[in-house]
Amino acid sequence: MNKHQYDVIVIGAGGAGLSAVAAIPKGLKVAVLSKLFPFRSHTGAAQGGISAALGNLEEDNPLWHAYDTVKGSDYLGDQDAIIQMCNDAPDAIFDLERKGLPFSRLGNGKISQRPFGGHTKNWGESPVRRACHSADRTGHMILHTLYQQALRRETNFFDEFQVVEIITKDNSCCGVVAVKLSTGERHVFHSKSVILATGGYGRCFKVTSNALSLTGDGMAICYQKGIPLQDMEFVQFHPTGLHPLGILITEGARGEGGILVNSRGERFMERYAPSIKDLAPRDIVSRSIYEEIKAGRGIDAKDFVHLDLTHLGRKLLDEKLPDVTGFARTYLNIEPADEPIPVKPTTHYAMGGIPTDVDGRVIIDPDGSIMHGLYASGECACVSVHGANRLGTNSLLDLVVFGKRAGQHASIYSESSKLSELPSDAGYDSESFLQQVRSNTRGPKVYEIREKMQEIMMDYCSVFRNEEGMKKCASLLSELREDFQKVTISDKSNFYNYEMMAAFELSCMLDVSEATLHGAMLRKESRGAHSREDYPDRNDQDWLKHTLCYQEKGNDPTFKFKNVNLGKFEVKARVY
Amino acid sequence: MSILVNLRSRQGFIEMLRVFRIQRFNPEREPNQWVDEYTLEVNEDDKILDILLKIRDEVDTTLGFRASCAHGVCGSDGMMIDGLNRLACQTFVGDVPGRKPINIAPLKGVPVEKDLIVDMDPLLDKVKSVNPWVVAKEHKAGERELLMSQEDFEKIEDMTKCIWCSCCTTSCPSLWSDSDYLGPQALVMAARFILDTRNEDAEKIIEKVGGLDGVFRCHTIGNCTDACPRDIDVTGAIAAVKKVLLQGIDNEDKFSNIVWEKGDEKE
Repeated sequence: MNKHQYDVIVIGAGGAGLSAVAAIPKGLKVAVLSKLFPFRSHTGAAQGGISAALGNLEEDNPLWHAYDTVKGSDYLGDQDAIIQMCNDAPDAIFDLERKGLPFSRLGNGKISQRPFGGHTKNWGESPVRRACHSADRTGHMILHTLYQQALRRETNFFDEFQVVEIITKDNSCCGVVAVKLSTGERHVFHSKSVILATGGYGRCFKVTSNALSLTGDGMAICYQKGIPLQDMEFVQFHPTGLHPLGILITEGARGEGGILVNSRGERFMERYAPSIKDLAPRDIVSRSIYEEIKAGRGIDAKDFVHLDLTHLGRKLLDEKLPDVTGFARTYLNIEPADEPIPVKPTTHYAMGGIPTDVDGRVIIDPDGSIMHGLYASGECACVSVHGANRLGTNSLLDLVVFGKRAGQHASIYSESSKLSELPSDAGYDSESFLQQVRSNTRGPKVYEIREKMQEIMMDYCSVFRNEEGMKKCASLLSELREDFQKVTISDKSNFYNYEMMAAFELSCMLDVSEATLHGAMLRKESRGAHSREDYPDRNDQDWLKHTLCYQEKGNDPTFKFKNVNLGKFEVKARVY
Repeated sequence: MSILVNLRSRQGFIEMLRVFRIQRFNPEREPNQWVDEYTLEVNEDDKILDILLKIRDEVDTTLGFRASCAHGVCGSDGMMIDGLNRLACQTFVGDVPGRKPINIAPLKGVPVEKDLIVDMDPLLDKVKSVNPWVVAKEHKAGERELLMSQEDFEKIEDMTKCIWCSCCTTSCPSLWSDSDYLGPQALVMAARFILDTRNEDAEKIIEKVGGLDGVFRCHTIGNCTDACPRDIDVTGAIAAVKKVLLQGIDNEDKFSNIVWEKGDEKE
């Protein structure tokens, strides 16, 4: 086994991981591991913008941004963390700009801003232009800019290394085990601190905007080591996925004036969110689309509606929304300047994840006890700034703000601590897992289990949920977990063995699906993106609290509850 | 080897049979490349990537290729399809007209590692060698953005779309005949960072692209522009670098040293 020693190890090289890297002083020895090439990370698929109250076009205020985020989260977001994020936002944008990010500009040379769902001025009065953007490829620019700066700093990258286990000892983390994809060799990275920035798990669901690589790896390897996962029942379904593929069409399309219409040509969002209409938060718009479909007002009575951009004119589409209009042309052969785009909700973002404090330190219980040396940031983490529903543009903000804070804190921690000795059983769990998979001979193939899992999660645990459906889903899921014990691969080589990698990823997806499903069964209320047909109302009395889900090997997971940080903004009914 | 795959029938559609001829390579199995033929029941609007995924899932799990976002923004699945470099997730069965076999091969001009996977290192080394980044003064708390006009943004916008898929560089005959040539991808990056008005280190890039293996190896063949899945005017970007080398950069309209301080009057 190959061994490496570093001060800080960063797992995942998307926006969060690379923001962490940028914050680590040069004197520390850093390695960045990615299962892809860093510039393939899914941050690059984010389109519409990154919010900050710069006020470049009209009055704005970080506290308005914080208020919108708290309200958008259906009051489950932690208010201290949200205020921190919104206050840090302007400097985070200017920092990206200095790193070379090519933002779209205004006539006076300042950064351009546009409206986005749920972002308002004056405590919810009307939409505000807060989303800074680079045409409609903001995430691509963030990813590439941060990667370019990491190259400039001569960062040590280990590309195409799949991390399969974290190494923990006495409530502290001292490294990770990774498999080099091209050779199958196992590498131990021994370090003072580890920052997880591995992204989400949209691929647990059949229809998703997420990349093939988004399989919940970072969350699962923590969960397997007794670290809880927080608020996993909250999964965001983006209202405008290209029908039927699920490819994302940015909310910025509605920010620029696009509207949703049903089969009668009605702008139905006027009924569901009279004040901000099509710019309502995503959970509300996704549910509204399904309500229209259920009422038989889907286009041709089918399961999609139309996103109409035809009135915006070709010039605006080419300038402000070139990529998404390109997707419509490429994948559906539709010209958005002339005809509406068929859309339906698509699995998009995990609000839940590895619980952390505002410095990215991983928390392991309701009292806030820390797993020393272990950090998480970006989509794999749950700070929680998104609560029960994330506002558009806040994911990019989350990953630059909290990626940086995790990098800073991990640096301080690593400067003041010594490498602890590796435990004697380091890497044992992943080794035995991989050997088991390799030695299985008669059993289902990886894709067979994966496809079934994606189908049941989509059918029973997506936009609308109920007890009966989820119970059925739970029993099917545990059958799949049993089948997985016998999963069989035919590629036994060590050379670019994607089948082995897919088996590992599937084990991760089964774990995080379990946490999501059981969290959703437990939470008997409707809040944000978690919508129970059998409990249609929000219940602050019993459920204004975070869930922490702990894995119990061979049994259903157990739960503990953590308080929500309130205090600044009053908990109210959520009306738009 | 020829394999007929029976796919599950999709909603009773009458579909067509197409032959996919995939170039294979696995030095653990045999020293030379070979071709496998798969006959699949497909639709015109099936993505080539989905076909490759299906083959890997259900027929031959050892088939090597890279993929991630599956909608043309990550750049993982650049390969040669029917003789042209393209992204498999952005290419459809119907893009190869008629009923002829669809040939799928790895990108040319770089070493193949396994099947459709090529060694990315030589390509990345070329890009890294041109210093593809902006050097600006560090941001300090309270300082606002460096100003840049929308016009100056638009000058570089096309090039900033680059996703580093390397379809351009590996389609370039000049590169095929001289592997030391920097190639289109590195030159697009050079153009993007030379023309960025905020970059204080543009001169360094100019020095790096003027040499023997640099921009004047380009013979304006134009394969790169045809290959670009992001519709970047690659040849135009290279021409811009040539122009800068011959005429110098026009510094007059640079905003790069102007800092808009907090508290300045808002418009």
